[in-house]
Amino acid sequence: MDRDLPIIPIVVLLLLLVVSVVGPSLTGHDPYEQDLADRLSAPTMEHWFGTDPLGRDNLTRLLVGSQATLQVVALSITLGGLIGLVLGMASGFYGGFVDTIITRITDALLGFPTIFFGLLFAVTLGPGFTSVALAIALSIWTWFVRIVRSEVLTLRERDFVAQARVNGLSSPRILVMHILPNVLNSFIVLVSVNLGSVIIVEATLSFLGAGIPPPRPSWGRMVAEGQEYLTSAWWLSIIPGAAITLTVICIFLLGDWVRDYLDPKIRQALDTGPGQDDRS
Amino acid sequence: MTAAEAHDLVLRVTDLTVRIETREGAADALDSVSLEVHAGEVLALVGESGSGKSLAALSIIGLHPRVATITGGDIELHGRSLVGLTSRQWSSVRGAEIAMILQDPLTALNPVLTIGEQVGEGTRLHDGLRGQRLRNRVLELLDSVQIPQPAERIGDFPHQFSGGMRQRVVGAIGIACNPSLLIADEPTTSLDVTIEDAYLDLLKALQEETGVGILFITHDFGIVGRMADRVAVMYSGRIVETGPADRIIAWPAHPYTEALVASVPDLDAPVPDRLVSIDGAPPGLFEEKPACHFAPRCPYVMDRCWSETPPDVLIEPGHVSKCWKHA
Repeated sequence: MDRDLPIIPIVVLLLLLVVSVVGPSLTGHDPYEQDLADRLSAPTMEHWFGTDPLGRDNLTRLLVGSQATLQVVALSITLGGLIGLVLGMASGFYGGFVDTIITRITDALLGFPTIFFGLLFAVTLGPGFTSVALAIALSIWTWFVRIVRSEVLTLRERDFVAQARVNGLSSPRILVMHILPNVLNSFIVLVSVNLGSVIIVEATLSFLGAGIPPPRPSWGRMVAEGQEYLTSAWWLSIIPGAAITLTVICIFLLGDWVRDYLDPKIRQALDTGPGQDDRS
Repeated sequence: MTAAEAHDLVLRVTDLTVRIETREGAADALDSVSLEVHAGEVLALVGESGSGKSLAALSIIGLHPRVATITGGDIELHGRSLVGLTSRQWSSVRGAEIAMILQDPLTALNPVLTIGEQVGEGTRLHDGLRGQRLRNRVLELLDSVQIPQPAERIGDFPHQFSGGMRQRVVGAIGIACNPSLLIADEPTTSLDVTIEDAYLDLLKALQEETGVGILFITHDFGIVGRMADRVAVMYSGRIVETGPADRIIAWPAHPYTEALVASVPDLDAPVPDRLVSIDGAPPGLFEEKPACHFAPRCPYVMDRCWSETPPDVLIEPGHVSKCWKHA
């Protein structure tokens, strides 16, 4: 491996996970408690990241918001990824009619901006945590289909698939036992590389008002709510915005590393040290 | 043949006709092909590329391409017809009763599954073994193909095995469920000569151990002499000669077999000026063919070869040639 473990992104992301879980109880503030006397306060010792127009503690809201964001992102990429994985595998393996239908739909959907479908589904499904996750899942599965499909297209011509057939395995069994383990590496890479983009989609949806409904805070919504105070109270938008940027950059860096690490060629070269191939 | 005759008949193919229909045309890619494989014998199916030998093998195991349909004849395994089985029924035949070794044993293993998982796959599926019993069976199989220290290597991945070992693993997969018929489709074409030699020895040894009947598909008469008890020679979708391997190599009856045998270079003879080859090329699938498909290339061609399909002529017991020359 010519790349070392990306220490900084891992530390930042771990820190984020820890503070988003235990953080809200340590700030000494309630994320929903209003204090109109202390509204729009700039960062102080009492309120590290200032307060919003209703006097709520910005730091606590940022931490609580990270929970919402991370949960929605995790749920939607799992769901969207699985839809993409299953459809991509079916499309590549069975070919013919199934392939035509799935490919056409995917191509058509990829022609639209992701956020368009996100908005469409979010508005149609109504507000709420699950519907936002579902809306994102439904608008991102196309990212996975094409790559999984092309991967399966080459895999199904490999001799070990023919061998499995000759051994009496049925098509579904070949898909699960032989194709899936071969696709899994690329799939994990796809997930880690796209994770950052999903955070941006979630933030955009929240920013546009189609995200998790208030009063529950989310990063995208906090940026949106602070927008009109940008000149007078910069901390409202800038701080959650910076949090999004930092997280996405760290995830991209980590995803990059995962991609290199799971590359079968690199890994094979690692496993097969000199002289190991012929020990018998 | 005498030893083989005493054993059971494993596979009988009678008048198998397979038609291929594509946009370019339709033709019988296999024309009344008849074969028999007995337990414990090796039948070599010999022919050039495109003669239909691989299609015959795929039809026997029910994996012929979609453009091909069986339009006549029968394939029987231990007297039970395999034509028209459902895919569920096929699943219990393939790998269990008929096993097949593919052309390139080096790429037949899945790179992301362990050797143990792949060797045990058939046993798990067909014999329902699990846990310790499955593991024991896999160890036994690896041992029978001479993988050293199988208990330590069972969790290895294919790339940790040498080329020769991977081939032996594929051999172990072939015999995992004690099939009664093993089809080997040119299993050595992709191997270099020394490895080929070891592989043929292994196949022979496995056969002696299990008594499996082998249908060995090849285009190499050198391998035929080493491996086969009996030979069936195929030309353009038809079996033109069948008989005991030693007889056919010593006294080929059909003009095509004669030419094939003559074209094998003899290492003991003085170096000839040029290697013997057969003039002309085999006919394309959709080409218009004369009654005897070999007529255009045959040195003994007669008038009737063009218009009348040659009969199967019995040369000696168990030795049949499809040619007007003997009539």
